[in-house]
Amino acid sequence: MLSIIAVMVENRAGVLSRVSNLFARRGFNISSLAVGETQNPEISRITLSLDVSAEELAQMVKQLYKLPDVLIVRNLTHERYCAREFVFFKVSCVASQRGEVINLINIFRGHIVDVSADSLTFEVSGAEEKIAALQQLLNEYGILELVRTGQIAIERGSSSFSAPLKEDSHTEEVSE
Amino acid sequence: MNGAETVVKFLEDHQVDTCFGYPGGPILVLYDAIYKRNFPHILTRHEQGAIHAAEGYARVSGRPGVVIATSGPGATNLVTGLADALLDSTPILAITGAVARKEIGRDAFQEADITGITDPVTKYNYLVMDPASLKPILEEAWELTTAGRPGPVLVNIPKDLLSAEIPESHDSFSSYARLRPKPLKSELQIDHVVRALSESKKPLLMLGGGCVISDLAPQQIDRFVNHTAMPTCLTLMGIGAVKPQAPGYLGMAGMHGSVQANKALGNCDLLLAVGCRFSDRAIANPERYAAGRTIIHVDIDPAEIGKNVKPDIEIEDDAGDFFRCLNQALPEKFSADWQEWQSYLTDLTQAYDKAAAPLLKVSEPLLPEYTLKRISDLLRQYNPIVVTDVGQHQMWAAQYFDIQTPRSFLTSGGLGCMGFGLPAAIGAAKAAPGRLTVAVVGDGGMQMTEQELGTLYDLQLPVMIVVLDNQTLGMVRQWQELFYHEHYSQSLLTTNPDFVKLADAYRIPGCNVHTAADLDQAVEQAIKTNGPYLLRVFVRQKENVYPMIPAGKDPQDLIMPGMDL
Repeated sequence: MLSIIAVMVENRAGVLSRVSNLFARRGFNISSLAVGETQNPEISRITLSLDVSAEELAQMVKQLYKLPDVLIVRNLTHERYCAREFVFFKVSCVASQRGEVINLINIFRGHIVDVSADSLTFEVSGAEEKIAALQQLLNEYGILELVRTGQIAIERGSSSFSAPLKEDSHTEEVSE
Repeated sequence: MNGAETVVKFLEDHQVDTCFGYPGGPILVLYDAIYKRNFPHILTRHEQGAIHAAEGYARVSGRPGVVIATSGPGATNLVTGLADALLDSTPILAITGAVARKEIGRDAFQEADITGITDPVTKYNYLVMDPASLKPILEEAWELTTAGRPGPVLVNIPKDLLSAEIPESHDSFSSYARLRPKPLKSELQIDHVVRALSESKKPLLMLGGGCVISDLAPQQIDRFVNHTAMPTCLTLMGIGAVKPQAPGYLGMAGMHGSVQANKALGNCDLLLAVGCRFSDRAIANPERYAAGRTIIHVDIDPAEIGKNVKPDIEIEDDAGDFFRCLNQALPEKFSADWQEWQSYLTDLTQAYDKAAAPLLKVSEPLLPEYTLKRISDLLRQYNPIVVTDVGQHQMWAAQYFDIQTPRSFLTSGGLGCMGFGLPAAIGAAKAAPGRLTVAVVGDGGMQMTEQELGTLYDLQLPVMIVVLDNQTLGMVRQWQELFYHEHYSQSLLTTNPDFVKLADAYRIPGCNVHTAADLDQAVEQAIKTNGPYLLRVFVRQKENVYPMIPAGKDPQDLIMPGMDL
């Protein structure tokens, strides 16, 4: 089952290595991991995408909750969310091919960031399937380099997450 | 107040009455504060000894054991004990020195990335980089050691920070609330449990280490088993959770558990497992185990529930709270149709006792089973704390010692860590002044931490060391006999030292034991000595531990010589 999990963590030293150590140690396979500060610089958000069974996922979430760094884990898979990934492509492309490649980039709403005599570098963002489709088309020209951030995801609607302070007596327990 | 004084003041404020450790480079500032404040500290002879002693102290007292070590090699020597404490849920606060902050990452003298190294073997660890965070970190670490499922927490403090002035702070280290799923507490599930119990024809209660370390549990368990007479087995870590004379008591289950406990485990239609984690040593094959029976799993650590075995009813609770809730929910006259099952298990118990009887006879050389049973009988009135090392003697101690109270049987269960016995016994004796402690160790494990005889001499604690000397790594030898065509590869210890002379070199009295008469005399002498005493008991080398569940088999497939199972 493909799942996307958002993990809010306190920005303590070594938190990323703790989280990734946990996956390595317990044998959980993750397909991508993206991390960055949230609107509150003391809190980071880790987005994980992974292909595991429901049981494995439940066990993984329980293990994450054992880490004091973890403030909350949200399984976005069952919610309305939108997920994107940001990717750089560098493709082999001589002057005669430039037109058709640029055409392709435009169809996929990419932006060119660098051109050389025999290559073209551009950025594109989108859902996993879109990136995969583009990658397949570009294989024909020869992909010299591919750099991707891993998926990030956000819930649709106005719901948002802000970490409650310890003193706040009305903090709620999360539902699974 | 500097960092070192802050640490000592913190320990004093938390009524820490002893700590175990070993000085060295970067931690010297802390040792200076210990000196100046005259803080009680026990010097072991190796950091591994210090942490095992702290574990022994913690398991007997229920309070966190405190261990101090220096950076680099001092801290890496703690790793085995931390792993042991994590698996066996023992609260430990480890304080280690680190090189000065500006030297971190430059491969300075005695530098090791100790927070990195110990991440997988601690509940949590900290590297203190900001003087203002020292006190808040210590407070959070202390709380974590015993919060929920207890375990080890390490605080790594750079040398310059120990000397730095520490600002007064009452902040907590974390300012955010940690949101957690609402636990499935006993109250919410207890009706299902009562119904499952009364519908079951072949129920079994399995008590793990969580039942020993929950303050409320032993009393509530006693009430429950006396009320229901439910067949009850223990895991290795659960020994002491219930008295052996309780109705329905079947003894230890698992790889070397009793016949009746393992038959019950393999044939029950309902398993109520409380405070245990379905380890492969207890349950044989967790993946196969769940089929065809109802499983109720109660544990304080939600991550244990469903990790190895998926239960039908799950409860996240303290063992004591669970039994209190269960006792309240049970009708005054609890009746269930268990007679057939109970009499089947009673017959098995009698047959097993009969089959094991020859192991408890006097012979020459002495049988290890007889030896430990005899020591247990001779010491009954003292209600001793029994601490084991790891191997055959550990299983025999588990099988034959009569343990009447919780926190009285200490062993390295999950990690199976040789060298645990002697130092853990020292810590245990320290936590229970005046109470006799018996350290049952093999000749192999004794030689892993025997330097702690020096610590024991310093402290003059009433620790009776029983070295079961069979001149072999017994459990390894047993496996090699049974599964490796009697290839005794590196398992024969033909050049053992004279352990009595070794003790004597540390000014600890002792004697050799060859016969049953020697044994009785030696035990009497040990009691009279009321201090450290070592018995070197020569036991039969080729004795194997039985019953045994062969590798890959299920509990009901166990073998026991003299029984047709």
